[in-house]
Amino acid sequence: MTRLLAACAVALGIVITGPSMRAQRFRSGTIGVRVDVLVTRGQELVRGLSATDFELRDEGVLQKVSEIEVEQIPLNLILAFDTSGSMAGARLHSLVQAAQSLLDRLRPDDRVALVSFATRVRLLAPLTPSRQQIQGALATLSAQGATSLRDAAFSALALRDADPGRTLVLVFSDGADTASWLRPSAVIETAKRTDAVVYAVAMAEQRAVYQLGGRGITGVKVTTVEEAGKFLEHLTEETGGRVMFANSNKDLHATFAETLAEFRDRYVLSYTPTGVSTTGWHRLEVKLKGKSGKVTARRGYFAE
Amino acid sequence: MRAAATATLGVLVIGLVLCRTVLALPQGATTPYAEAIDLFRRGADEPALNELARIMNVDVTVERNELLKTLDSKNREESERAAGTIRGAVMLHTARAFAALARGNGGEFRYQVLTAEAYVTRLRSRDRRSAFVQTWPLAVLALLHEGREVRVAKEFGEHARDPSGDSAELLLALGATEEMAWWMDHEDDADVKGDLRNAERHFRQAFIVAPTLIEARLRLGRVLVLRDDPEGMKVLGQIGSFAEMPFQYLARLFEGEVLEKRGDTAEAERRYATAVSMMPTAQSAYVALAHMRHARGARAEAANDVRSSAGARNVPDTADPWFWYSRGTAWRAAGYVEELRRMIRP
Repeated sequence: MTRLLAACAVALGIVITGPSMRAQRFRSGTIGVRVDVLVTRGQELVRGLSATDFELRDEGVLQKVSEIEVEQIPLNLILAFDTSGSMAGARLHSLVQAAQSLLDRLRPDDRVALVSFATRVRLLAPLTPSRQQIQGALATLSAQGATSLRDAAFSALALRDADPGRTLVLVFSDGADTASWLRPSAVIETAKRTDAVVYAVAMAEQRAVYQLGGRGITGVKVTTVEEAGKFLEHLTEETGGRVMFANSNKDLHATFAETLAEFRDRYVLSYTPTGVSTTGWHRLEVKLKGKSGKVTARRGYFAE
Repeated sequence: MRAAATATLGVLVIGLVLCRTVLALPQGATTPYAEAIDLFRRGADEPALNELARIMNVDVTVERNELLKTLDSKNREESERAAGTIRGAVMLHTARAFAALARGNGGEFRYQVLTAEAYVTRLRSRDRRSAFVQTWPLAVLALLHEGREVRVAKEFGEHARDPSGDSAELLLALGATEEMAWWMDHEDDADVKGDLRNAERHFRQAFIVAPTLIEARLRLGRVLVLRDDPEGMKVLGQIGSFAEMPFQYLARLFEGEVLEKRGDTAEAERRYATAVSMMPTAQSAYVALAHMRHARGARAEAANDVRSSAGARNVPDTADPWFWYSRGTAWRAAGYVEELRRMIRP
């Protein structure tokens, strides 16, 4: 069990007692697993639930939810933004504006990191409480090159600090991957090994530019974001997040705001695993007891 | 309708008359088609394409036939002049084809490429070893690879085969097309099929035709390991210090991937680390290393790898050999196009 708990501590951003707010939630020396869940009924978020409203099974074994929290835990927001050539112009401008607006909605103890991806993945700002640093990094964004979506998603997940805060990875992309080394399955495996929740915002179309010899023979091609959508849907489902599609540049602002609001309204369930194996993949099932509503949560976690 | 048909016929007749008298002329009085070709040969791409867009396809056909007749002229000077114009026409139609493809107009792309191809076929019948004839299909395939238009590349590749023997570079391009198609089918769930056995066959033939073509050896090793053929590691292992650094880098990266898949993480880590040390600005080996470390629980090391690579400043976007490798022969496109442009200058 010790091994399991130690593994959980790594894999799920486990809370160990200390002189911070998390100590108030756990008895001294206790280690628990934290599961981020979203409850909806139709299009509406379901609020006001308590620990007793949830039924949580770890590998089919019923667990006792010891704690439930909403909104109180500081947020680590990792922004992973597509800056490939198809983002040039108004789309990039809208993205930067939407991100700036998102920063205004954060709380003082929240931290933000900015990763951009085109042909290359670039860490423009590590997790920082400084909004000024992020604003400065946003100002440097320029659109050029291919799309390393999968490598960027992995990098964002790997950057997640061993920190008690909840981590939201917000991936924005307007096209399919065209440059990554990592295969989709490799990134999904990584997602299983972290406790971050991934939300993705995808544009409904992408633009690709052809050139012949660099002398101004260019064309604009419109294709769907279907390929990227498949990967993003798989990735977000695995972590309990979801994909939101923006139909236009103007939608970005509202979609980002909706993403953050939804994440804030999620419940964080904590429990100490009992009666389960000490290694390997743990399948999680979370349901409501005696109430209607759809629960969205990560599919499981790795105990190593 | 009748008026339009008459007008078309009128243009056709005028075109015929003009073609006979003008196309073979060096300069001065000219048809719109000859004007468009001339503009393109002089580097005025956009005006040339605009001019071509205004010409009806039927007129292009008529003028093309006339040009081809002139090519067969017994007057050597006239024939050479026609050959120069035809080379320009090939590039003009190729440019129009890619502009159409960029707009998602596959039908127009095919029409323009077929027009260019008809010219190239005639040029080939005169001299199958000419640099222009050899380079044009390579450029088209490289540009298609650059745009990841693999399905079109497969179709075009079949047309580009030389019945009397393909060049090593064409074989390389054909194999790379199959490899890209396989990859896109397997990793991106794209609606295109690639056959690694075909890719292997093309790369082996390329290697026979040009034993010093390291890229053929590298790609052969890669497709073999993708097929779990043990020969793949041997082939990759042959890419040593004699090869240029990007090829060595990729060989070590691919070896690391095989070893990781086999569960030999210690050796895989060494190969990835070797690749990193060879080209520290390339990102793929860093990402591979970070991913493997993350998977075995070394999260801090993985995060450090990501920070080292993604945090590096002033690294060009295209500093990674993997980026070029994954685009088939796209990295050769600029060179091919420049060479062709040099060959069409008036």
